[in-house]
Amino acid sequence: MKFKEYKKLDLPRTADDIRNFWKSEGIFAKSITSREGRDSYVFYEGPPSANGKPGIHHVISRTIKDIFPRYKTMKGFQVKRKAGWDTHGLPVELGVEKELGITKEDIGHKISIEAYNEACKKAVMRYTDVWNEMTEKIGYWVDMDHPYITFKPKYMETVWWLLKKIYDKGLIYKGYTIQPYSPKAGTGLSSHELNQPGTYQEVTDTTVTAQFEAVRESLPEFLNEEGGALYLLAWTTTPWTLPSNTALTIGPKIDYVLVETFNQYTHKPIKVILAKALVPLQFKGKFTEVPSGADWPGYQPGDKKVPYRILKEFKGKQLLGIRYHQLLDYALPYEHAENAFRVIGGNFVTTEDGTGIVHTAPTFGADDMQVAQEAVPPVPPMLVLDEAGNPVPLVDLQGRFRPELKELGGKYVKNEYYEEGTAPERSVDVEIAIRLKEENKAFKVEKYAHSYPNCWRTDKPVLYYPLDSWFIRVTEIRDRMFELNQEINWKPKATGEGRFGNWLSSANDWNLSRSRYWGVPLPIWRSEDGQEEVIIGSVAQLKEEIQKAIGSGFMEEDPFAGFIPGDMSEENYERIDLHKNIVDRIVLVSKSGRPMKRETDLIDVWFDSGSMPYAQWHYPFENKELIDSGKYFPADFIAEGVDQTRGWFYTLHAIATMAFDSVAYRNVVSNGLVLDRR
Amino acid sequence: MISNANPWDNLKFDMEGVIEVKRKFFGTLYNTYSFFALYANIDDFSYAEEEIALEKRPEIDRWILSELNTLILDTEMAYEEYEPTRAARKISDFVQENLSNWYVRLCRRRFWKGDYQEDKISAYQTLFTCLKVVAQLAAPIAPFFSEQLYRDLMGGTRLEGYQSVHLSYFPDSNKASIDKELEHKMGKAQTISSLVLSLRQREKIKVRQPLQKIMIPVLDPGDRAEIEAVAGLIKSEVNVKEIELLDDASGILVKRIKPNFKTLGPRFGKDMKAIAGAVSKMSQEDIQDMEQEGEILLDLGNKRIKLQLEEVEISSQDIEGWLVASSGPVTVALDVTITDELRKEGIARELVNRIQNLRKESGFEVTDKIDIKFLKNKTVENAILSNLQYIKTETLTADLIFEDEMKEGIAIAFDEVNTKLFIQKH
Repeated sequence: MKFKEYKKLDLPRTADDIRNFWKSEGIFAKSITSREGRDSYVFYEGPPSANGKPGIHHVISRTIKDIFPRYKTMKGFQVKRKAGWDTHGLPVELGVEKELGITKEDIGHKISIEAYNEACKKAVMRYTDVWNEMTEKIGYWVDMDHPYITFKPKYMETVWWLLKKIYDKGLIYKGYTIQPYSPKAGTGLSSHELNQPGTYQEVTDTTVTAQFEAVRESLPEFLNEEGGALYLLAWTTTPWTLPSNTALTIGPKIDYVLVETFNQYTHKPIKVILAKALVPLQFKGKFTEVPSGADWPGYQPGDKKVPYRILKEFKGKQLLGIRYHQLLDYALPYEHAENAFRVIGGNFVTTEDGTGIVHTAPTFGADDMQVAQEAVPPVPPMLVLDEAGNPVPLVDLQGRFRPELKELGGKYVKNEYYEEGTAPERSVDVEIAIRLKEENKAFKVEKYAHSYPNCWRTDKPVLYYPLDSWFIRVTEIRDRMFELNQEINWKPKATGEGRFGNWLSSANDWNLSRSRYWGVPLPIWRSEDGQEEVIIGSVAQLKEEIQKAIGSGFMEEDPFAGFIPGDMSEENYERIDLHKNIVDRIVLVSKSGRPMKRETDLIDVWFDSGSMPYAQWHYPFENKELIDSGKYFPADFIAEGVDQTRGWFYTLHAIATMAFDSVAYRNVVSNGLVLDRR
Repeated sequence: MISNANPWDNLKFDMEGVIEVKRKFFGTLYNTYSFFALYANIDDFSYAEEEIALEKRPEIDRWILSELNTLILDTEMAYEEYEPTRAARKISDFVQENLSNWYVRLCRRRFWKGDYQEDKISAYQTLFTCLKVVAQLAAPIAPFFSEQLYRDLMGGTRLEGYQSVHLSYFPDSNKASIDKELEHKMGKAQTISSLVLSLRQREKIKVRQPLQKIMIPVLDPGDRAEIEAVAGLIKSEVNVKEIELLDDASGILVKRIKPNFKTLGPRFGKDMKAIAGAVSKMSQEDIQDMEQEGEILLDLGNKRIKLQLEEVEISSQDIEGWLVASSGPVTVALDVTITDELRKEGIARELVNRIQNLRKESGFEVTDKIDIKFLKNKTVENAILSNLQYIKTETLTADLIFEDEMKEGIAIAFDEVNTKLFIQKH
C-alpha cells in the first residue's frame, strides 16, 4: 500500500479523473441516498433558458451554488437538487421566428399556432447537451436526469393553481397601462423589443410651448393680485397629445417665476409661469430682459426685441391646485371631468428642458398616467365612450384621431403611418401648432431634433398607448413583502436592504399579460361583456367546465377526452397540452348560460420561474406534504447573479408572499457579474 | 477562484488571477502532499500504528494540530454564514503560512532523518491528519482536487474511510487540542522570523549564511517567557546563533516618530502644527506606551487630544552594524557582521545544497551513500575542513577528497568560490 505519487500538478487531469470517478461510481447519487432519513437542506436551482448557450456568468454562479449543498451534505443533511429549464417567453419565440423566417403576424396564417409551438418546444431544449456538458465539466452537482421543465403540463397546472389561489384572494384584476405600441403592427411591444438595436432613431418634430390659461378664481392670492391673463407654459414634442391633456405637473420643490412679456405671434401682453432655471432657454433670441426698476418699454408689432421682466418668484408647491381652461376643447373625459385640468405635483419633473411644467396626457404616457392616478383626487385620463359604450382614448388602434376631433378626425397622428405618397402636407402636429398660434395659445413653436423609438418590425414610430392587461395587485401586498424580506439573510446584506428592499417598497402592480403564443395561457374565461368570468386552477376543473359547455352546446367535444382526473401518471399527463393552440378552442358556459372565451393573453414568463418551488413538485396535486410540512419549502439557500433582484429573486418572493404568506428562501447569495478583464 | 473575490463583488474574469490562486494554493497543497507521500512511502507509513496520544507528541505537532482545530471552527463558521471567500482564505492561509511554510519547513528533518520511531510516526500522523482535514474543509469549494487528495491519502492507509470526500462528514473540531497560548507564542516566532528574513532580504544575505545574533526588546516577563520558549525554533529558522532579549532597549534601539499627515489632516486641520510639535517631543517611553496601548494622550497646551497609532509613523533607527525592523509591538535588530567563521559556515551550507541538488539530478535514492570529489581551491578547502562532519552527515557522504585536477564534475561558482564538484555512489 503506497501513497500515490505524481510527476507534477496537473489540475485539468485531476478534474478529468475525478469526473470519471464520480460518474462511474455514481457519487452524486450516493451523496443523496447516503443521507436518506436525515434532515433536508433545501436548495432551489434557478432555471436557465436552454435555447441559449451558457456563458461565463453561468459558470461562476454555478460554482457558488455548488458550495453550500456540498457543505451541508458533509454536515449530514440530505440535499436534493432538481435541475430546471425555463422554456417559455419572448427570447425563445424570437429565436424560432428568425429561424423559420417568419414574423409574429405570420403565426396563425403562414404557420399554425400548433406548428409554431411545436417548433418552440424543440428549439428550447436545443442546447441542453451543451449545458449538461458545462455543468459536468465544472463539477456542479444537480439532478439533470429529473429536471423540472416549465412547458410540461404538470408544471403548467401548478402555475394555474397558483394563479387561481392569488385570484381568489382578490389580487388579480384587468386594467390598462400605457405600453409601447406599434399601430402598424397592431401589437404592444415589450421593453425587450424596444431595446433591439436600431430602434431609437433621430427625428425632427414640430414642438409647441403652449400657454394654458389659469382660471382666475383658482389662483392663490399672490398671483391673483397680478392683473391680466396668466398662463402656465408647458412644452411638448408630441402636439397631437394636447387634445388629451388633463393636467399640468410641476415639481413642488422647483423654483418658478412669473414673467411679464408679449406673445410673439399675437403681440398681446401676457404673464407666464415657468421654472426659474428655464427662463434663459425660453427667452433667448429675440427676447430681451428689462432690468427691475427700469421703465417698461411696451411693445409694438414689428419691434425687433420683445421685452420681458420677472415679476415674482415662488416654489412649485404654491402652484398646486390651480385650475386652467382646457387648451383644446374637442372632448371631455367620460368620467370625473370635474377633476381634470389642474396643476398637480410629480417628482419626475426636471428643469433640464422645456419649462419645468409638464403637459400631462394620462392616456399616452406611463409617467403621466401614474402621476394622474396618484393625485388627490385622481386626475381622469382623456377617455371617451365609443359607439359600443367602451371607454377609449382619442386615438384609435390604427393610430388615427377619433371623430371627436372634428376637422382632425380620421387623420393619422403621425405622417409616417400613411401609405407612401398619401400623407397630407401638414401633419396634425403642424395643424395643431397653427391653431394654437392663432388663438394666442402658443408661446413658441419650433422644430426639435431628438431620438424616438421605432417599431423594429415595421420601422414606423411607436406610440405610448393604453392597452388592456391583467395585473396582480402587488401594491396591496408590498408592505407584507417588505416585512417578510426582513427574515431573509442576504449576502451581501446591502443588496437585500438596498436594492431589493427599495424595489419592494416601490413595487408597482405586476403586469401579467403578454400577447404571445408560447407560454402559459392565462386561465381566465370571460363573457363578451366582461361581466362574468371563471378562473381555472386545474385540468380536472377545466374538464368539468368543458362538460358543462358541451351540455350547453357551446362545445362539441372535450379536447382532453383521454385525460383521467386524479391519475398522476406521466402517461396520463402526456395526453394533454395546455398551450394556447389547444385552450383557445375551449369555450365555457357562464352561470347565466352565456359563452365565455379565454382572455387571449399569456402570462409573464417570470411567473413561471417564480412558481418553481411548488411546480417542480406538481404541488398540490402531488407531493402536497413536501411543501405543507415545510420539508421542501421554503428554500434554505438560493444563489444567482445580482441581476435577478428584479427577476427571479423578486418573483419567488412575490408569489410565496401572495400564495403562502411566507418567504420562499431563507438565505440568498447574489453574486456579482463577471466582467472580462480585457 | 472563490478566494479571489467575494462572490458578490463584480468578479473580473482574470486568467492570471486564476493562475495565481492555482499556483499558490493548489501548488502549495500539492507540494506538501508530495513531500508527505515521498517519505511516507520510503518509511512504509500507512497509519498502521496506534494513534500517538496528543501529550506524547512534540510541541510543534501539538501546535499545528491546535491551529488545525481552530481552522475547523473558523471554516465551519464561515460556511454557516455563507461566506465562502472567508472559508477559502482561512484554509489557504493555514496551508501556506502554517502547514507548508512553518510546520513542514521546521519538521523536514524529522521526515528524512532518524529512525522510524515515535517522533517520526508522530510527524507522519500529524501531517496526514492535517492534509486529510484540509481536503475535507476545502471539498465544498475545491471539489475536484480535494477529492483526489482525500482518496490518495486514504488509499495509502487501511483506515476506514469514505469512498469520496463528499460522502464523508465535516470534521468536528476537537476543542481539547486547541492551545491558544501555544498558537500565540508560535505566532510570535513566525512574526520574528519573518522580520529577520525580511532584513536578510533587504541586505541580500542568503538564509544559508549564518549570522551571529539578533536582539529583541521584551515588554514584560510574559513576553520574555514566550519568546524564550520559541528561541530555538527562531534560531534554526533564520539561521542565527544567538538571541538576546532586552528588558531595557533604550540607548540601543532608538525609535523615531512622526505624524502621518494624510490621516491626521482631515481630523485636526489647523491643530496640525501643534500636534507635530508635541509628537516631536515624545520620549522613547512615550513611543513604547503608544505602541502598547494603540493611542496616546497629547497635551497641546490649550487642549488635550487622543492620537491613534495609525495617525503616526514609527520607524526604528538602525545601529551601526545592525539592522532593525518592527511589526506592531515586535522589534528585532539583526547583527549583519559576517565574521570569517560565519563566512566559512555559509560556504559549507551552500555546498551542501549544491550536493543535494546534484544527488537529485543524478537520480540517486534519498538513502544512497555517496563519495565526493572537489577541485582544490583555498577558500573551498578552508570552508569544508572547518565543517567536514556537518557536510558528510547532511549529504550521506562516506569519502570526501580534494584533487588538483578534475576532468569530470560540474563547475560551481558563487561569491568568491570557484571549484568543481563530482559525486558518485559509494
